[in-house]
Amino acid sequence: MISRLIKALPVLIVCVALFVPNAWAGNKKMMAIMAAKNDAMRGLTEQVYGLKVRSSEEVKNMTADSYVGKTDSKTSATLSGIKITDVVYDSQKDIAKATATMTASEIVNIEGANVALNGKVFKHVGFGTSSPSSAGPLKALRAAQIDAYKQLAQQIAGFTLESQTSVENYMLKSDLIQTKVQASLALSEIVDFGWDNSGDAYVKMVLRVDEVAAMLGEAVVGAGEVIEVEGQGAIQDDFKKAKAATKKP
Amino acid sequence: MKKKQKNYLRFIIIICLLLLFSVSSSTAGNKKKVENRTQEMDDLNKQMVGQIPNLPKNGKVDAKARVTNEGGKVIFDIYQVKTAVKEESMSFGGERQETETNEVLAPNTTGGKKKPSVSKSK
Repeated sequence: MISRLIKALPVLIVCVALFVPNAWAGNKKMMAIMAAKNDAMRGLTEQVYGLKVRSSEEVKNMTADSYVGKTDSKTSATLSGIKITDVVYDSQKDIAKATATMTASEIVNIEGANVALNGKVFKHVGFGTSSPSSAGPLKALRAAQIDAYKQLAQQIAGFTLESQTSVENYMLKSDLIQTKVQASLALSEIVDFGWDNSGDAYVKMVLRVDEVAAMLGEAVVGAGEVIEVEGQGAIQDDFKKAKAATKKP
Repeated sequence: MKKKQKNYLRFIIIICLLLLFSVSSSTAGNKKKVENRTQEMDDLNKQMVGQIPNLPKNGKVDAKARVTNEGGKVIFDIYQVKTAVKEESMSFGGERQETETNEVLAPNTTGGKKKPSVSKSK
């Protein structure tokens, strides 16, 4: 009886090894594509309807170790007419890519303002994965996108700067610096994105002030300007590692 | 001799490749970005504090400003300044003494643009 079981065990192991990964592969692909579609739709919503950005940074005694920076973004809208196209799945990396497009004549944006979109086609590329091990580059890209939103908010709405500074023999020494920004953003456009050789991501974002003014149907400060920013996102947290290393005696 | 030279060359190439890989991977991460941002924030603060009139030679400055960007130029709308001045005085005993005075600059609300007005407290 035991010898039969021992003989059957390798067969069982082979069966499991053959069939289970196939089942996973199907599920993984679907999950990755679904995540990519959701990411694309979120990006499109942030672009067309808008989002709220809240960010704060703090540095003490000019030491990078003390730096604390946090940026939150929030959006919630019901948009109709979003089309998902160009769905691509890379089975080696378990990463999916999807493009969300939409066109509309008019919408009410995050600030409750009527925006005449005049049939302009909006597009956003999203990525998704079902494997945490493959998520690094995608997280870096999202971090770069949020960094770009923060920079755009700081340039458009301005920000608060609070500081405590020592003066010694007419020389300035920053003891505490804090920046804060809270703003709503809409109609910003990603013109380029990617990853450098090290795996860190970048997102180039623009806001065409004239286009925004025309869509809102009212004058906006900074007419004729094209505000361009480049957000950056890191694939690994070596700052935390360095901070932990310096804390150890 | 030739074989030895070849092996030596191979060794150098491998070392160079290893160095290249380690350098490219060490540039990844957020540490450098945080260091750059820290420096940017310090520069920004020094620009703002530099615009405050009558800075003390020695002391402390607490300031708040609204920072905006107009056509690529950074504008500081300083709306609150507190300065604590360390003053040096000579006692008759020949010893130097340090006294501290406080100076508060509050926003002037009468104008269109906020300009600091001075009120002193000792």
